[in-house]
Amino acid sequence: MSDASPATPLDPEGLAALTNLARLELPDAERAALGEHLGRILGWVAELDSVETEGVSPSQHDAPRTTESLRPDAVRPSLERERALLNAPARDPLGFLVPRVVSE
Amino acid sequence: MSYAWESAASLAAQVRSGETTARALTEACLARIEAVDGELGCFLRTDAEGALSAADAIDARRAAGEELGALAGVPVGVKDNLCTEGLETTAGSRMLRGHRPLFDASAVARLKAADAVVIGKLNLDEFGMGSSTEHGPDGPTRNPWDRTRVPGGSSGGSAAAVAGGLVPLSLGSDTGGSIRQPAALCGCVGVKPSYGLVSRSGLIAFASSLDVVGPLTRSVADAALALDVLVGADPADMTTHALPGASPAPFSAALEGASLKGKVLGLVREYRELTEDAGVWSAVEAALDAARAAGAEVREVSLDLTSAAIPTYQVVSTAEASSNLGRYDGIHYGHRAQEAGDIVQLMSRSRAEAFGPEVQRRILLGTFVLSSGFYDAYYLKAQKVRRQIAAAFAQALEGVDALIGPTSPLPAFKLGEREQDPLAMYAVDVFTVSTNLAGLPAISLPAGSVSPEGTALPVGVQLTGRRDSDPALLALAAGLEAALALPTTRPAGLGGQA
Repeated sequence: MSDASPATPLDPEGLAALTNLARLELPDAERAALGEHLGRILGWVAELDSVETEGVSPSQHDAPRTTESLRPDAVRPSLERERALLNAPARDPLGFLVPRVVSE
Repeated sequence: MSYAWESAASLAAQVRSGETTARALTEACLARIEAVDGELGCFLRTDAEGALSAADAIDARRAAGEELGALAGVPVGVKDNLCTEGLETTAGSRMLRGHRPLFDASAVARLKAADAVVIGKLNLDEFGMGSSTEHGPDGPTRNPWDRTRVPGGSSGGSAAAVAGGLVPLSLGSDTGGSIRQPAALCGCVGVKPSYGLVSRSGLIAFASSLDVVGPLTRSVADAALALDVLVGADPADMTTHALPGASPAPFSAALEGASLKGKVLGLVREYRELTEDAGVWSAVEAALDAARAAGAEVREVSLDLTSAAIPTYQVVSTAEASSNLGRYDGIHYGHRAQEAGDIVQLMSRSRAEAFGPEVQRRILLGTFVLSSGFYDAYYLKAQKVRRQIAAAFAQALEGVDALIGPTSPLPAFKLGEREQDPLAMYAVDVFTVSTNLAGLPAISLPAGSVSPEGTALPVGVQLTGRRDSDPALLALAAGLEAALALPTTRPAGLGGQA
């Protein structure tokens, strides 16, 4: 096992890296409480360290049924653009609108 | 005419025979929701226009001599994390306010194809993340038996609507107990089918390897009727498969002549000390006495790793949630922040503005356990423990027909009581999460009540079976339901004290 058992609060740098990865902009006022909370849960989850798992292979979900999971590789109708755009918060007739990502 | 407390089977039979019409049932259902749901807060929205037009189409087909489906005219409520074409579907989140799906979830489509009438959408914890149905932006749902208490969650609206006589059948989803725990707390039947038997297509994803869609009803027979419709392989969900060796209505068929005689129930030893409320355990023991009297044998069995299930679940479910909820970016659909500079800020701000605190906590936890440097210690470790939990179930189920124990360690708790302590809230799922980790079928059915403050609160007993043995599990549940022969009681103040 690694050293990843922080029963102590997540430090501000760690939390900043995490909120960036998760794309969640957190108000400064909430950071301390959240860091403490996550530390508490992670400390509790670290109880799993006491379970012996030597030689056990990880499980996503058991009993995969690959033969029934396959379907013919055939082209089928897909969503029309107009309908795909219906729930977009900002759009024009051609696509989704986003802030400029390349400079002029 | 009130149909509030009639079974789905009886209502469908009346519509098929012409004794009543789908329109009459729909109108009565909508009127009852209008009259009593202000007290309960089950429905986030009803769809009177869509429901009446569907009902009229069903009645017209009957008039034309067509044979109607198994759920002819039966009003159903749908948890609001299941997509309904053109009908707003929010998953109880600000993120999806105003979202109108382009298609029906497969489970909803199957109900409609069996001539059920979708009445509206039911309250839940945001994205299914909770055990009390008090986290959502639309306010709490209240327990029909005591309106100061929670209905459980996350399918709290689905359970309270059935227990309160608003609909005879609702759809819920169960990622760690979200059908069974509210069913227990509201005094109805809730089934979590084996993973892969009911399509997840159109279920707004929380944790894809754990999420299962299932029915909530007031009787095991109605649950079987619904499962006959819901279960089956779906090309739109590659994790589904057909029930092995299934006849056309395997669940209803399994219930015919169902009896506990000669059946063996395994009482999970570890559950006793994890049951917070002594009255809950007494109710389970009374259920065991009834089962013995009906000819069943009860054995104590041991289920290893019971206490490891919740931490394992927290790691696996939040990891999957952090990935699944990555789709909410403020661009393709859902909430978009108005004040944002670049595209990263647009995403981060949209998500921060629209996700509630519990959802944010889980996304962050899931991001952490998947992040470089921590993946092996948390996520990989949890996946290994998950495999061992499945093995522990296989061992416990050896030589018994089903495992039995309480569904929830305590009856319905007060609104707000556990809201500030997420760890205490997670502990509520101690008897339910492990079945999702193992992919097994489980059912919660009413097993009496406790009266902590003079008000009777329902207690649920859970039966857990082998994977894909769902019809046999329902038959056991029907046997236990008959053996218990609970008196018909109904929540006070909601009409129809029969």
